[in-house]
Amino acid sequence: MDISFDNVSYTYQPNTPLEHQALREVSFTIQSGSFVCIAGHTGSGKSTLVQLINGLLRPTEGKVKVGDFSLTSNKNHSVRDLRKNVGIVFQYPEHQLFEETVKEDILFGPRNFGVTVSDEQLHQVIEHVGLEPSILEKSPFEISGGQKRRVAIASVLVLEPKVLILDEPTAGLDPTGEQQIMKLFQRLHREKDMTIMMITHDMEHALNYANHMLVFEQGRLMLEGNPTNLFSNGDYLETIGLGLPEAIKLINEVKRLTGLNISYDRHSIEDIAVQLSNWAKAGGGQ
Amino acid sequence: MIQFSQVSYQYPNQSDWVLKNIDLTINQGEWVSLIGHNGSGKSTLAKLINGLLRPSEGEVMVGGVELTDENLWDIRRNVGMVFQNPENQFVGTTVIDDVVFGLENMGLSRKDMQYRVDESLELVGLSRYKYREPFNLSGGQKQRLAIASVLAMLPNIMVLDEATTMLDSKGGEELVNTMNRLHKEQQLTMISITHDMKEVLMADRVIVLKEGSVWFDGKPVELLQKDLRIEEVGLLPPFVVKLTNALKKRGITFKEEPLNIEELVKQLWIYRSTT
Ligand SMILES: Nc1ncnc2c1ncn2[C@@H]1O[C@H](COP(=O)(O)OP(=O)(O)OP(=O)(O)O)[C@@H](O)[C@H]1O
Ligand SMILES: Nc1ncnc2c1ncn2[C@@H]1O[C@H](COP(=O)(O)OP(=O)(O)OP(=O)(O)O)[C@@H](O)[C@H]1O
Ligand SMILES: [Mg+2]
Ligand SMILES: [Mg+2]
Repeated sequence: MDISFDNVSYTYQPNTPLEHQALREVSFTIQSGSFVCIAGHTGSGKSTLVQLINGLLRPTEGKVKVGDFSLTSNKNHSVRDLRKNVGIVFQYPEHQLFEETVKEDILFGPRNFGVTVSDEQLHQVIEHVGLEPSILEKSPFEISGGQKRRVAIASVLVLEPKVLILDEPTAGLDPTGEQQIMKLFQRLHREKDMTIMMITHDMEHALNYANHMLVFEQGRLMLEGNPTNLFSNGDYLETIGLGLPEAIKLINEVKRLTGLNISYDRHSIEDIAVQLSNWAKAGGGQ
Repeated sequence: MIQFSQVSYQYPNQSDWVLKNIDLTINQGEWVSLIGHNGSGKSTLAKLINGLLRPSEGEVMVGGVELTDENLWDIRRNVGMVFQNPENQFVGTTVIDDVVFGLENMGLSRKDMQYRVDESLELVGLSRYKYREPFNLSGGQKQRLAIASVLAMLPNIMVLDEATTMLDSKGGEELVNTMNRLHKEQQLTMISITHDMKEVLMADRVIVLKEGSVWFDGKPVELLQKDLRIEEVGLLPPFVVKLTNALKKRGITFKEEPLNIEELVKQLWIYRSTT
């Protein structure tokens, strides 16, 4: 499903003293099957944006299109079919856990949409997010923060949505868990052609997994493009303080101190090690 | 000073021991990173420090006294805790109310109170949001508010349970630096639960939990340099360590282990000059 925003603005609590415009005239198009990272400072409108994609919020102005679905301010048509195709993992997992047991929570979505899930599928999704089957009978309120995050991810993945929206899905995961879950998203993207839109503050994710990046600043789309290209001309990203991935910092530092150009397209650790060791072994420094 | 002697903990009606025989002393003015895999017991340990939970076995002492029902409130005033989910600590209907709430009953003058509220909101960058509703803030703004409410109380001990996970790189760094400054200026004890290895490297000491027991307790550098199997506890080596290892495999030798990108490039430069 292609996703497009056409001049979309969104205002919270309009015509009250607390009125706040969170998005301003945002336009972009994402092709079906993309892996997109969304970045921007605290409060720049990222969570607002993704909630417009599955109809949790309706645009104040402009039009959002997701596949054949159109969302505008005044249309009141059902978003049920849209939600079945567009799964969203919220920024705080607590916002989507409310049943008595973890198992009930994971089965909530499928029941709601009339989809049956076998025990085998249930165990598989639990395993994919790195949890033990024994967690299924526990209360979602009596598990650790990282375990809650994993359950929230499982409860969305079990529906196998065509579009997967992730709002900081790795916050609170331990590093090996983070790697495991990122690899899982990558596999779903490659094998099932899932479209992934992921909000993240971790620029490593953008560089290593995404093929497109959107950067927001105070409700406006400031920059978009291929992450490697954006990072290799990274002045803007650096000045606004979103940080650069470690590999890019290293490439820049090597260039600054030694004049050696390491290719931005070959930023894996192995590739960098080959280029750097060849240079170091060649000798001849002052 | 915080002391745990032979502390074990079991949640009510559960058979598993979540913490097992923990012995720890954390001195006033130390900055400790507490890390470990998901479910290893970090948040549980934090809640034992401020008396939200009581040990099933063993003893927890804060400032030389054991926690009792009588001194609970005094101890909580000394131990500021930022919870893993900031929403769990919101009490006010506006941002400013939320910070003020913690300061009530502290016997502060109106002027002092106002000063502390303004200063802490300024420190976390929320001055413009004073009259907003805490639950309608963005994810990162919520974390900032939770930190401000605790900072305003000027506690001796700050326990931060993954308090900056949703901040962008610059925002997160700025807050960690602010905390570091307070820690130095005011001899503030900092216990910071995190999964961020860069933050861990800034601490004086790192404690690693594995399945409810202490797996490592020492200097952050040692954790990376000793040949420990850190994957076992859910950790991965940082970029610089991985790259250093990949270079060593290709025959490059290092006089000292580089801990950041600048050091690594400098050492390569030296290697090249002497080859
Ligand atoms: N329900 C609401 N009512 C009023 N204002 C809101 C509401 N929800 C969000 N906002 C405001 O809209 C702006 C954008 O919020 P949003 O949650 O989209 O930010 P974000 O980019 O996701 O930030 P973060 O990285 O901190 O999660 C923020 O300034 C926020 O305070
Ligand atoms: N309220 C509770 N009731 C019963 N068990 C709990 C409760 N809270 C946590 N647990 C269990 O206790 C263990 C330790 O949880 P804790 O929250 O201390 O872990 P943590 O190290 O903070 O993990 P994370 O990195 O995921 O936040 C976990 O196995 C968890 O499932
Ligand atoms: Mg958000
Ligand atoms: Mg925790």
